[in-house]
Amino acid sequence: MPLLVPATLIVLVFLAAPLLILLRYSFNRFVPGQFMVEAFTLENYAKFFTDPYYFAVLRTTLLMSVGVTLACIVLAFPLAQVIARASPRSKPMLIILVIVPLFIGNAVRAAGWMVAFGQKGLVNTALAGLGIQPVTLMYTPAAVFFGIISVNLPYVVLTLQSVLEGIDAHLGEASQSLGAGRFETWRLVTLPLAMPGLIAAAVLSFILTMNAYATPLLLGGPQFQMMAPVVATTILSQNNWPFGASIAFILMVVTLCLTAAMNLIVARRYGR
Amino acid sequence: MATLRLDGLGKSYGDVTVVENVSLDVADGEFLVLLGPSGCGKTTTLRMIAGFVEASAGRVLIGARDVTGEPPYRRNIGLVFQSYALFPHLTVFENTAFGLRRRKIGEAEVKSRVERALALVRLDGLAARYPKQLSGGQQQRVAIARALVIEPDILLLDEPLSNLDAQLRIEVRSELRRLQKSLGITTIMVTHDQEEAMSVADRLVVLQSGRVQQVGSALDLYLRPANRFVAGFIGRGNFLEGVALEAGFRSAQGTVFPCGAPAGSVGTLLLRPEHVGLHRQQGHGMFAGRIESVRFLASSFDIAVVLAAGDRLQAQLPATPGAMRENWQAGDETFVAIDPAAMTLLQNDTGHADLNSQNQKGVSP
Ligand SMILES: Nc1ncnc2c1ncn2[C@@H]1O[C@H](COP(=O)(O)OP(=O)(O)OP(=O)(O)O)[C@@H](O)[C@H]1O
Ligand SMILES: [Mg+2]
Repeated sequence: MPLLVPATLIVLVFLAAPLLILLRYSFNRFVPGQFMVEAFTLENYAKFFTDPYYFAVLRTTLLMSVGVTLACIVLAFPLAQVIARASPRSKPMLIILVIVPLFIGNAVRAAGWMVAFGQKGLVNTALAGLGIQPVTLMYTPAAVFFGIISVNLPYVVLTLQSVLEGIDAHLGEASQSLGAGRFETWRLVTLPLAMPGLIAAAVLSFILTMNAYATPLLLGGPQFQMMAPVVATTILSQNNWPFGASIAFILMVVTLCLTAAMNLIVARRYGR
Repeated sequence: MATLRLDGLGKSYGDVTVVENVSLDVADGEFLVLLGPSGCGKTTTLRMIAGFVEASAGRVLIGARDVTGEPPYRRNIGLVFQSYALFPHLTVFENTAFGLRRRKIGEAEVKSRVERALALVRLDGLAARYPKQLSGGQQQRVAIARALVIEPDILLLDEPLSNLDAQLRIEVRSELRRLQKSLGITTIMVTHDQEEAMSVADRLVVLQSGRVQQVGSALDLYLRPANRFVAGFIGRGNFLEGVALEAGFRSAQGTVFPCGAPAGSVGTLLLRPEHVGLHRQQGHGMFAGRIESVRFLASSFDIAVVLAAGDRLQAQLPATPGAMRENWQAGDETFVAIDPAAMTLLQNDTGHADLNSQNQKGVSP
């Protein structure tokens, strides 16, 4: 038990305390010109839910998170399955290939996408070479969508792969010998058994997207707003700590609630 | 229910051949056991029949149907794995019903057939449990029920009993045999346990290095082993190198055993330890010798004897009251009696040089 003391202290000092302070800030009043005024008001929260602009930001963030997560699962599942079944010789190589992108920070990667997506970027140069009109990619929701997918995909692949690997290969064979084709075997045996890993991967991707900062900022441009960049702008540019703190809390609570709900629904559906 | 024919079946990985030219005819309702040491290709053969390993050569026929190119889910073969491979997310009932549901059978019939199958393996009452709530023996019986309920043409079992403890293994295997006979289902089981093989099989197939060494009943294989490998694998044996003369077989040490073999052939004489008798008094046709060691194994004595000429023999005496009274001790003088009818000459020209190097020294386990 005494061994737990340092870890508990670190969590308290570096995680719980700032959160509590931020929570307290979110009830303060913002008076332009002054930093903030001690108060106990819900006006910051009221502002968020009554101003259509901020509500739209939350909606965009949610849509983006759900979309990216679905896309990631669909893209990652076949890849994870290939890796899980790879021979012992090629498997480490494949896993390293998946991990390599993680060495590149989000901001650097987004900068890379900017080079590729720009009006005179790689994609449009290639299109021009083929005689096709340039398309606008930068500063579109699609750019953010693909940008975040590229960030999340390695995590989702690795999570799924580790679960798929734990499924006894004989189960698939038993299913086939009992008359189930390949797809039926996947649907009836592989998928239900992979469900815990699939939930974990989805939660991971969902949380990463809800809190995405660099990618929407760099690839979405000024018109496209998601929650995390809005928190930063509110606090850093407008110096509005109380409102920024309340947005941060709304983001956190929404993320937690939806994650818990997703867990519950899937757990009930698959009865475990 | 059907016959099964393997026709020149073979499997190679790259230039490594793991199964070579296996041809077998399995009769309708027959219980065949594939027996052989680890790595001899038993599982590979079974998986070729089931369709999980693609054959490099040869054909698999169920009845008149050539299934060599068919995927596993169209072969109608019941499969029981060593690891049971029960679906952990499904109940015993749903595990058993899995194959029936794939066949689009009505719910009422599914229910009655599953119940019958579970009763058959004496698991009625556990239908609502999940596999992890069952003992190993119960899980194994679910696996058997699941494979049987689809009324497969062929039932394949890969070391189905090896995860059970010794007591349960004997129980489940006799149950398996009873079930197989009452359903009359053509069955192939893989094992490397000779006792298990002999206790359930109608016929045994002894495999070594991917090749069939001999096919026959347990008694055939025991009495007329095709070669030294089979002789050492089915039962135990003393193997003496030597040549056959007019007078009988002369071992390398010079002892002449009166077995009727064509003179001039070089070979190996097989003497079963249980056919070696020990006496205190010299009698007709006995060999003088000395007891080297005695081990008591509850149901028998294992006794090592050195003959006057130097040949070493293992004798196995049943632990009868007579044998107890005899009380053989290391160092005792003894006279060894062997019925000439129990002397089997194995020709050395079996074509498999490796066979004869395996059990070069004395008794094989
Ligand atoms: N995918 C593979 N690639 C290469 N060699 C293989 C492969 N699968 C099996 N083998 C080899 O084929 C041989 C036969 O294997 P198999 O599993 O059929 O043996 P077995 O008789 O079932 O042995 P055991 O009693 O240990 O289960 C072994 O030497 C094995 O190494
Ligand atoms: Mg095997």
